[in-house]
Amino acid sequence: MFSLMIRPLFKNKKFIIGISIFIFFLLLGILGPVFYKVDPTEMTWDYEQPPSSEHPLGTDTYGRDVLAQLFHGIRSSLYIGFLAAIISSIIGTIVGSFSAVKKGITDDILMAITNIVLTTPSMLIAILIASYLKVRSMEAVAVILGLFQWPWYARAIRAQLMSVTSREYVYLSIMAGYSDTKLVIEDLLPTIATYAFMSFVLFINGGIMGEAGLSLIGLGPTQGISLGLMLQWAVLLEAVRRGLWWWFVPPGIAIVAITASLMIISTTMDEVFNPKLREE
Amino acid sequence: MTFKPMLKFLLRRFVFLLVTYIVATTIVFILPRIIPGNPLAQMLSNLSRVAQANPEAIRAAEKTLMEEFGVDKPILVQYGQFILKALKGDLGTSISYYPRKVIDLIVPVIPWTLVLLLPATLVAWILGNTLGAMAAYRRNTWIDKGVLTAALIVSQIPYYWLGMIFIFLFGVKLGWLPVQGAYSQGTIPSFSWEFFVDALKHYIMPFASIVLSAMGGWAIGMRVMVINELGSDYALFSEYLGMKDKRIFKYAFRNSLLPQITGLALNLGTVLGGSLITEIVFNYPGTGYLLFKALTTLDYPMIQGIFVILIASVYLANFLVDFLYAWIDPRIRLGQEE
Amino acid sequence: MKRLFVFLIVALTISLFAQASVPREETVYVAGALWGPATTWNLYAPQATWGTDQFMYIPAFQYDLGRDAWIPLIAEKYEFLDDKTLRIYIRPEAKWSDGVPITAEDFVYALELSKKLGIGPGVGWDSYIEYVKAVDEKVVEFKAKTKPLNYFQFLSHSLGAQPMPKHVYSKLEAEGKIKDWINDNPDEQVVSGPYKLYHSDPNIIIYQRIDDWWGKDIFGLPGPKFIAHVIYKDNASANLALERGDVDWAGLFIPSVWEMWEKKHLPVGTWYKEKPYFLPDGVGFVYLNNTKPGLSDPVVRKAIAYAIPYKEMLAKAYFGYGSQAHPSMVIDLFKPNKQYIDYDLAKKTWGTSDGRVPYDLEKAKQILEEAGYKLGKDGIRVGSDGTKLGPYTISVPYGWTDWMMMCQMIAKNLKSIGIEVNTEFPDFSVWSDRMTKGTFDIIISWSVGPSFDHPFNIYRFVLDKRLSKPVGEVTWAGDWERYFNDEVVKLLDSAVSTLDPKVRKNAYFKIQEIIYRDMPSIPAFYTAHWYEYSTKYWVNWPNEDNPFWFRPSPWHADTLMTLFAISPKDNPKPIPTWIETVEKGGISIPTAKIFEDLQAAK
Repeated sequence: MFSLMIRPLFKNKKFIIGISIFIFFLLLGILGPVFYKVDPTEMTWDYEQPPSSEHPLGTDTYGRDVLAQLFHGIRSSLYIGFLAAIISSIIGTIVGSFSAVKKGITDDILMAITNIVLTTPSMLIAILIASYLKVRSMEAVAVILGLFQWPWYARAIRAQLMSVTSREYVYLSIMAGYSDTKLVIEDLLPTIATYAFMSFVLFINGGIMGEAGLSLIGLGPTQGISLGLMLQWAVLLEAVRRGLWWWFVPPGIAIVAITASLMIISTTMDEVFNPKLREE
Repeated sequence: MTFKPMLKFLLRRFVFLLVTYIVATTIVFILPRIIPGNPLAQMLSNLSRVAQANPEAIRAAEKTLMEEFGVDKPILVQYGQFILKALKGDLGTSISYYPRKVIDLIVPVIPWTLVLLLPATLVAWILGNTLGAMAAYRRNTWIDKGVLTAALIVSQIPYYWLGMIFIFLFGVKLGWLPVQGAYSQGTIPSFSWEFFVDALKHYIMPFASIVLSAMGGWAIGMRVMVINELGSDYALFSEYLGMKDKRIFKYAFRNSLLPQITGLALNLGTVLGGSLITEIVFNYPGTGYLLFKALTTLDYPMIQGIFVILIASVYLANFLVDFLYAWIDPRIRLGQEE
Repeated sequence: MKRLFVFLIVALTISLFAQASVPREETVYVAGALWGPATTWNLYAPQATWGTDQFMYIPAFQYDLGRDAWIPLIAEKYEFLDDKTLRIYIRPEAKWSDGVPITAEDFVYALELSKKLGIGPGVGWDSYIEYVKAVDEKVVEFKAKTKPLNYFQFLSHSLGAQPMPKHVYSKLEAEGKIKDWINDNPDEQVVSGPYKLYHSDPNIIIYQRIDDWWGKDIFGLPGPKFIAHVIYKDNASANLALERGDVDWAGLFIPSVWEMWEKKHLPVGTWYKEKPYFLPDGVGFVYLNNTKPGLSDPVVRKAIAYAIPYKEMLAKAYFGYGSQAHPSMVIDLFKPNKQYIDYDLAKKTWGTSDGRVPYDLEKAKQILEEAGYKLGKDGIRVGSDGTKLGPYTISVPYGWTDWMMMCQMIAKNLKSIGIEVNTEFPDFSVWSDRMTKGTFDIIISWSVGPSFDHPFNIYRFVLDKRLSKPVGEVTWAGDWERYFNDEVVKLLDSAVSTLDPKVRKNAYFKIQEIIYRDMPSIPAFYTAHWYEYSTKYWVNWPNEDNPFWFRPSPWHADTLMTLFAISPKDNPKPIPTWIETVEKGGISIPTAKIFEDLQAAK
C-alpha cells in the first residue's frame, strides 16, 4: 500500500526536483553546522568583508560569518516551520473534524472561534506572549505562528468531512454505535489524509515565512539565529543601502528555495493522487 | 430558487458575524491591557531623554497623564466608556499622538493604503488567474510548465525581500526609480499632471513587489481548479458530445472562478489593515505602520480604533461572500439549512 | 467641439492646481527628529510636534553649552535685586508674529498656566521659585524659594522662561480647550520665534521663515526659508535619503558613517572628521539593580565594572561613536567640566592615568574571590552567605542594535568571571516598565547630558533617592537602580544652595568618593549627539572647525541657533558673531559672570 503510494511519486520529475532541493537544504541545516565549524555569533574584527576564501559568504557588521549564520539559520527556520506545522495541523484537524461531526451548536462555536482567530491580529498576540515570556525562544515563536495559521485548514477539513459524513458507510458506523472520536479516527481522517499532508507542507512554509515576517518587525526569536533574524539584522544595519548584498541575498534565497521546493512537492502530490489532475 | 430560505440564511449569518464581531473587538480591547507595559512609557521616556526635563517636570507630567488617559481606572469602567463613545462615533484620543483624535490620524492614511493595495490585489488576481487558466488550457505544454514553475517560485518569494532586492537593484545600483515615499519630498499633493507622474514613479516598486509575490498563489490555485473541472464528468460528457475544446474550457473557467472570487473578496476585506512591511521597506504611507506603532507603544485607543474599523471590513467581506454564495450556489444554502 | 471643451476644462484644472512645492535651494530637509504623524503645535501637551519648541517659541535667554553662556533672545538684560531676586528686561522690539508686543504678562501667564495644568513650558518651576510677577509692561521678577534653595534650577527656570501669547491662550483657557488645541492653522499661529508652520500631512511637515521677524535687526534671519521634515518610518530609509542628497540636516544613527565621505565621496559631514565623529550627548549607564541579591553588594558591582570590555565594546558595537565614560560620571570631554573631577582620587582608586576604570578580568575575579565568592561546579560564584551570582538578565529594548550588541559582549565577559548573565531583549514598553519599576537586574540605559548644572544634574538623576520610588512603583524621574544614601542627598543640596564655587566643588569631590566606594551603577560610555549634514545645498554647518553651536542635532530642544550659521551654497553669508560672549564682542553672557552678579547682589 505504502509503496503503491510512493512509487508513482518518484516517477514524477517535478517531485524529484522538489524533494532533492528540499533534502539538500535540510542537509545543509543539519550537517552544515557540523562540518563548517565556525561560531556564527563570534564577533571578529574583519567586519563587512565581501565573500573570500576565509569567509565564503563574507561577514556582517559585527564580523560574524554569514555562511555559518546561514547554516544555523536554515536549521532553526526549518525547526520553527515543522513545529508550527505540527501545532497548526493538530488544532486544525481537531477543530475541523469535530465541527463537522458534532454539527449544531458545537459547530457554531468552533466556527466562531475559527473566525475570531482568523481576524484577530496575530501580532497583538505575539506582543502579548512576548511580554509574558522572559525570552522569545524559537519554540515560542513556532507556537505563536502555529496558533494562527490553522483556521483556513479547519474550514476546509470541515467542508470535506461534511460531504463525507453524508455517505453510507459513515451512517453504518454511527448506527454501529461508534463514538465521535472513534468515528473521526477510523472513518473520517483517512479520507482527508493526503489533504492533511499537503496542508502540513504548506504550514511549514507558513511557519518559515511567518518567522521571517515577525523577525523583520522585531518580534522574532530573541535568541539564536534564524533566516528571519539574519534578514532583520541586515535591515537594521542597512545592508541594502550600503550594498552588502552577501548579507541579505543568501537568507532570502534560502527561504525561497525551501518554501518553493515544498510547494512543488505539495503540488505534484496533488497531481499524483488526484485522479483528475493526473497527467495522461 | 425561493427567496425566503435565503433571507433566513443571510439573517442567520449576519447575527453570527455580529456576535463574533463583538467578541473579537472585546478581545482587542482586553488583550493590550493585559500586557504588562505602560502606554505612557514612550511619551515619558521622550520627556526624560530628549527634553532633558528636570525631575519635577517629569513627575508632574506623569501625574497629569495618568489622570488624563484614565489608564489607572478599572478595566470594566474603561470598557464601558469605550463602548459608549464608540456608539457615538467617537473612537477616542490617541495616547502617543495626544491630543489627536484617533479618527483624524487614521483617515488621512486610508486613501494611500487603498490606492496601493486595491489595484495591487486586483491586478495580482487578474494576472494570476489568467496565467493559471492559460496554463491549464495548454496543459503540459511549455507554457504550462513555464507558468507553473515560475508561479511556484514567485509565490514563495517573501514580498519584503523582493522589495529589498528591488531597492538594491533599481534604487541603489541603477538609480532608476525613487526608493521611498509616495511622492517626491517637498511636493505638496495636488491634482496636477506633474504630481500624478511623480506619484506614479514612486508607485511602481511597492506595487510591483506586492503584485509579483501575490499572483503566483492565484495562478497555482486557478490552474488546479480548471484542470479539476476539465476532468469532471460534465466536461468529459460534453467532449463526447463533440463540444469544442474552447467552449468546454469556458465553462470550466467560469466554474473555477467562484472560489477565486471568494478568495478575492476575503483578501479585499483585509486591505484596510495595510501592508506593514511594504510600508516600512518603501517608506510608503499607510495604515499598517500606524497600527504597528500603536501596538508596540500600547496606544490603547489607537489599537481599538483601527481594529474596530479593520475587523468590520473583514466581516463585511465575509458577509458579502456568504451572500454571493447563497445567490450563486443554492446547494450551500441548503447544506446550511439541514 | 465637445472634445475641445473637455480639453479646456482639463487644462484649467491643471493650472488651478499647479504643482505646489517648496524650492529645493531655499529648503533645509531634516531627518531623524520625527518618526510619526504630527501631534500638536501647542506646548501645553505631553509632546508637541518637533519644531514647536525648537523654532516657534523661544526663551528669554538661550543657554549656550559650548561657551557656557546665556544669549539674550527675548530679554535684553537681567538684574539681581538681591541674591534671591532676579528681574529680566524684555526687548522693546520683541513682538508676537501677529504684531502684539511680548510683555511681562506673557511670561507670568505662561508659567502660571503650566503650574495649573501640570504640563507645559517650564512645568515644575514652582518647586524652586517663590513667585513670578510682572513689575511693569517689560519687566518680569522672579524670586527664588529658600526651601529648597537651588540656584541652578532658579536660574534655568527664570532665564530660560518661554513666554506664551496670553491674548491667544486666555481665550482658549476660558473655553477650557487648551489641552485639546492642535494649533495647526498657520494663519492663526502666534509665535515668538522666526518660524511657523507652512504645511503638514502624514508624510511631511514644513515650517516657513517669518521674513519680518522682530529679531531680524538684532540677530539677522536664520538661513533657510523653509525647514521640511519628511516622516521616515525607519533609520534605513532616512539614511538612504541622506545618502541621495535628499536630506540636508540629520540626527540619525548611521552604521559606519565615515563610508559616506571616505568610500562614497558624498558631501556629508559630522561634527568631527575622525573618531568619535559625534559630540557627546550624555552618559550611557550600565544600571545594576541595588535591590537584587548579589548585585546589592558593592564588591560585585565593582567587579562588574572591571569586567566590561569598554574599548572593544565601543569600537565594535558602537562604531567608535563614543568613548568610555569617567567613573566620576562627569562628562570630561567638555573642558569646563574637568574642574569638577578629583583626578587624584580617581587615579588612586582605579590605577589608570586619567582615572578611568581599567578592563581587567583578573582583577575582577580577584576581588570577588577576596570577598568570599567561590566558583561553584556550574561556573557560577556563590557568596559565603549562599548568595548565588546569577542567573541575572541584562536587557535593552529589541531593535536597539548597538546596545543589544553591548549586552551580548558584557554578558559573555561576566560569565567568564563567574557571574551568570543572560541577554534579554523585550519590547520597549515592557523594558521601560521594568526599568522604571526597578524590577530589572541589569540594563543599559540613558541618564542625562551636559548642561548648565552639570554634574549636579547627573548626580541627582542617578543618585538622589528622592527621585526614586519603592520597587514596583513607576518612576521616570531618576535613580532607577534604587540606590538610597542620605549622605549623597545632603551633599547634593549643599552643592546647589551655595554661591561659593569651592563649597560646590568639595561636595562633588565628596560624592565621587562615595561613588567609588559604593559603585551604585556603572557610567559606561558617552552616548553620541547624532548630527549629520550635507553640503550639497547648504554650507557653514557647525562642526569642529566652525564651533558655532554645540547642540546642532535637529531634534535637540536648543537647536535653533544652528540655523543662524548656515547659508545657501550659492550665496554664502558670513557666520554671525553676535553669538560670542561679551568679552569677544558678542552679546552672550558667561554663566560665571551671572554667578558673580548674583554674589555681588547680596
